[in-house]
Amino acid sequence: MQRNRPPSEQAVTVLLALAEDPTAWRHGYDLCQQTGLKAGTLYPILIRLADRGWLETEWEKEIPAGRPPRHLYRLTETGLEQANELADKQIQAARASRARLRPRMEGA
Amino acid sequence: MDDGLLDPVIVSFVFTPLVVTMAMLFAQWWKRMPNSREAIDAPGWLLATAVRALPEARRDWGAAMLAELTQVNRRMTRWRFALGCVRVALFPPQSETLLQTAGRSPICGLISVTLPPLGLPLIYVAAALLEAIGGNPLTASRGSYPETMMVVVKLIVLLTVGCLLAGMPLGLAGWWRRERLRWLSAAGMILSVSIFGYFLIGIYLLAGGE
Repeated sequence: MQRNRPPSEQAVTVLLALAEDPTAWRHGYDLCQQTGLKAGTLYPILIRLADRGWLETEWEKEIPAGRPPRHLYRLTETGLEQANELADKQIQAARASRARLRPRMEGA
Repeated sequence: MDDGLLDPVIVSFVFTPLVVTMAMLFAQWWKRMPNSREAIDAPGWLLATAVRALPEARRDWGAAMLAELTQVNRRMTRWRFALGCVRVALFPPQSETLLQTAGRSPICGLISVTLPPLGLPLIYVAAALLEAIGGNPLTASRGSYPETMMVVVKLIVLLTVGCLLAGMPLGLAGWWRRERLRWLSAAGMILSVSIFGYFLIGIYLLAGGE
């Protein structure tokens, strides 16, 4: 049975990183470097995103000699919708917290 | 057999099946290791070994992590990346329920191989207990031991016979459950029969062949 819990903070980070350029295929190690997540954290997230159908995967087609093909990742349409939704939520949350802080700062 | 339980004949009789079984399992494990041991470094080898534990449905992710490791150059970073991936390979996100995973895990096969060779060291423990209390168990009379100790020893002997024979039903159970690594189930059954036969022959010879 597939659980559909809301994505974790780290999963949101990965989703947003992938959503920066949704048409581009990305590599696992590059995502590690971009998000600052360790491989042991990133790969379970990628696996779960793929299981949910938010991430499409493909093997590299043009392979330089002497190394194995790399796995490539990008968001599916559903994944992109989710990422956009999460980004909107983050913006709204940031605005709300700024609005909460303003009266206190003005009162000070 | 003046050395009692430390007699080399007895020690080798008791521990040979365990050592041989461990050697066989190690040889099987070694055979399944990545072949290009010379070509890859320790983190690569460790990860290549770990990804073999991944279930069929997750094998692609193992290959993906291995391919990605080739892009990491600095030694410490390679270790960190490989260790993170090893954790994922050993505890991958579940795509199926725990019951489904347990259904194909070679639990019965593994226990069927492990228990029979442990039977003889177990009876050796019983003999060592007796020796510690009332002298050489091969020569002393039963009356020289406390009653409670005899109960404990009887239990250990029963456990020994249970271990020696356990490979048969557990091996069959593993086969029936269609577990992964079915060779483990077959090896368990073969081990159980051969070690039990070895035990009977050993006891017959120790008793003086009468």
